[in-house]
Amino acid sequence: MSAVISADNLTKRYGDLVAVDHVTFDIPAGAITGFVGPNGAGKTTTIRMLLGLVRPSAGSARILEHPISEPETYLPFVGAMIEGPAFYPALSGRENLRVLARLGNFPYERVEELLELVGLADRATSKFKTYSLGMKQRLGIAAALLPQPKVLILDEPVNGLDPAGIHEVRNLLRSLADSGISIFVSSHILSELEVIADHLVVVDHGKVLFQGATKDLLAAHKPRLAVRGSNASDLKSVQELAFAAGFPGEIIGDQLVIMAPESFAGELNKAAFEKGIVLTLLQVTRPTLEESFFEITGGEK
Amino acid sequence: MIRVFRSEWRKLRRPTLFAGTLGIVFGLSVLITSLLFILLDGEGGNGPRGRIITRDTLALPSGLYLGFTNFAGLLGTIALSVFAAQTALEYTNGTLRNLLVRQPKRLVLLAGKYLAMCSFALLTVLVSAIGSIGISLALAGTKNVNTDAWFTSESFELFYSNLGNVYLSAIAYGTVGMAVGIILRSPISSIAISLAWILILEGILSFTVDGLDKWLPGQLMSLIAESSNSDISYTYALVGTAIYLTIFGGIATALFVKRDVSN
Repeated sequence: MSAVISADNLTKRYGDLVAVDHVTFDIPAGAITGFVGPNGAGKTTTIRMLLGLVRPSAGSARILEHPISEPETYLPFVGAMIEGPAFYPALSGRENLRVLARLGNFPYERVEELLELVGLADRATSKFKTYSLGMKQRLGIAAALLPQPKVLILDEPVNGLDPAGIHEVRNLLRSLADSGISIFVSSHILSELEVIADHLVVVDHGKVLFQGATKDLLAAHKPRLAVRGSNASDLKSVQELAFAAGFPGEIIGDQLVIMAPESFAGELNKAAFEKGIVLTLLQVTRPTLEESFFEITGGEK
Repeated sequence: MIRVFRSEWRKLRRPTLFAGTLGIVFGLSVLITSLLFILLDGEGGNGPRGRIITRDTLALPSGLYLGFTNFAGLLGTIALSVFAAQTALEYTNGTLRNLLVRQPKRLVLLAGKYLAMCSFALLTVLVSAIGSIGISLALAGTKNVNTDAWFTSESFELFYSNLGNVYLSAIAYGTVGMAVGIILRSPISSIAISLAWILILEGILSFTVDGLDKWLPGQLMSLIAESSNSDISYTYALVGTAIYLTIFGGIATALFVKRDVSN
């Protein structure tokens, strides 16, 4: 898969502060790539550099094979929403999109299509300042889609959306990716990225900690077995059985959580049965993206 | 550039700004010109700063435009406010980043915005001229002002030169507003500081320090509209203003083009 965005040692310094520190990554074409990191990790600054809004202190990047020092060569094919939706409060949603459509030389019919697509057609004439946060986010996504982009860069697009709105955006992004658009989306809602992102770039303190397929990140961490017995006092015995087999476990509430592969489940069940212990729950669980994220960033939940 | 110009006009034509500004300009032009005639025989004076403008002065070919040129300073401050607000709001709203994604050539974006606002300023000047000249024609008869000279070729020629000078003055004020808007990136600060300098500080300085007014940008810009005064020639005011605008405009343009867009 070729890269639509390539960053090579991209760096941004503000005085002594290094906001983005020699960041290197490749964003594959036709996929959804999540850009993950805690607040202040350098995500937005990186995105701003990619869009030509902030000048890098060092390093380089290319979008659609064009260097970011020449944004006019690639931005006509890029849609972006940076750090939340920003529009003119006194103008309607439609008028706000028309300002950008006129600037980018896109037909007004495209504005109507997009208002329909993001579900704002019936509020198109309302002033932006009267929109809810969810509506503002949807207008931001509509603005990003104006140029029928090859690359879509979205900074926290589900911020402020209710569960139904999040679901809609997730489906929209998936359908856009399926139509061939490469999507680079930052979010601090890791569970969202776990659902939609094919690839991930994890950053913290301005540095890339992981980049690759989402499944690779999840697979890199051991699955666990959650065990519950008919008698709570049996958990200690099961814990000893697992430890003897080389898999340590921890009793959390009424459950024993053992760091062990799925293949150990049958063996454990048999050993417990032979000791007269009845297991009422024996479940394989994989670490969530959030757990993997905190593990590689060294943070705490 | 044309796309930027037309895009900017979609913002300028919003009713509160467009109708509001033109309405205020029309209303104030009518009011200030009306006072010239209504207070004609009053002892307190009927012109700016208590100046007495006589019936004979009003009867001159230039008399038809006295209200209009008297309003030029206020027109300039309105232009300054509009230019500053329209520019600085792009920073405070965060909309500049959207504009730059769609038009990454920053000089083109800046030039297109500037031209759009200059065309808006032209409209305000025309509306002011219509209001002021209209009310002058309406009130002249009631105050026994002889209007014969108003309908001569000399008066018609003066119309164009006055219109041009008032427009130049408004554009100069507007350019300062835009430059300060870019430098400060806040509409309130930009307008407050600019107006405080031009209306208050320059007034005090020019009143207290003899001969200083020929070095002050606000004084020079307002003199363009008045064509000249007894001390400073029109050419001097024009050249002085051009030098100031080149400095302000140069700094602002360099900042707009080079500065990171972080908000």
